[in-house]
Amino acid sequence: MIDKETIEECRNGNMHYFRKLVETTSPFAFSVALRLLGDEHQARDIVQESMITIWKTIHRMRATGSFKTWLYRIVVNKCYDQLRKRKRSPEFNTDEKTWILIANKIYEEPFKELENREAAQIINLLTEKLSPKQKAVFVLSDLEEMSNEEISAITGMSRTNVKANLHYARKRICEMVEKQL
Amino acid sequence: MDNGDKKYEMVLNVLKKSKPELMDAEAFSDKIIKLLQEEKSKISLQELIIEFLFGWVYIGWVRRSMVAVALSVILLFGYQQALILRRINDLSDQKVTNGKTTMTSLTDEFSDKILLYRISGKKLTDGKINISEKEIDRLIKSVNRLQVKYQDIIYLIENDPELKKYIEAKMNKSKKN
Repeated sequence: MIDKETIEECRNGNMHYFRKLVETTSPFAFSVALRLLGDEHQARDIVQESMITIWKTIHRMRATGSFKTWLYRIVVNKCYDQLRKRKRSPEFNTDEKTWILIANKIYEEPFKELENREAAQIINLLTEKLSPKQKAVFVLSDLEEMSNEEISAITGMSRTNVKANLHYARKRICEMVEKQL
Repeated sequence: MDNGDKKYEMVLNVLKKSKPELMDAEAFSDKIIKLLQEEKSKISLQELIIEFLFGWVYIGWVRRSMVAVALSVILLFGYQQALILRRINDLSDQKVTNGKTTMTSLTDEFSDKILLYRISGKKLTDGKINISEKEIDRLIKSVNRLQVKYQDIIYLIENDPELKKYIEAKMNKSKKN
């Protein structure tokens, strides 16, 4: 993801290299944040805060190889904080519309990509019954396609816990999908 | 693969294909850089001082060394305290006697101690000496044994007239010499 030279220059306070780092890593961070939070503005804010945190603490980072893990760890932790603060607002029920959207994408337009907003809506619906940790494990594993080891390093959970949370998340989503589609 | 799993995979494929895209990535980066530059100019004197004084805690080896030193100091302190307590206990076991102290109790239990005082009092100079309770007990026991033996000897002499005569004769002879 990021080469050793860029990280070293960032540690030395080189803003030019840090801009390069931000340009390279922001898209990945944004993808995880949006999938976790389901809101584009919040996801952008989280990525922004994460990049500022990285700039302030990059001199504490130990080895180049763990930069990706470290970045994701910061983003996921900030998303956790946001998810815990969040209360489900009593808006009008969009679940039915979202299921129609999902069905449409699967059966009618399987090759057309979803917009950010649509993807976020679907993920929110599928994961509404999951805890922040279960949601994080599901997003990192099944959507971001990370290994259990990587997820364990990012979330701080043991590999056993990662597997257990993933199993539970998949089971709940499967049940919802089977019932609604 | 059952129906539920199949549908799950289909939904997942749709989501995986549609990776969220960060719009205006360049503008986004510019905004972050601008924020950082503004923040840099706003760093207060207080923050600089704190960073200067405590910035070392972020350095791994310095932090570990300080923890090791702190643990060593705590262990050393604990050891010193144990040593001091032991010495205090040893001191409290010792008895301090003053050559001028007068014993006033005349019960049978203390008659031996009074005798000891009379014996030791003549040789003691003014001031204080340290004698342990153990030594005093040993001395008293020794005096008691001598007293018993002395009484035994007197009893033997009294009950044997010939022996009595012999000893009296010897004592008279030594007096004359």
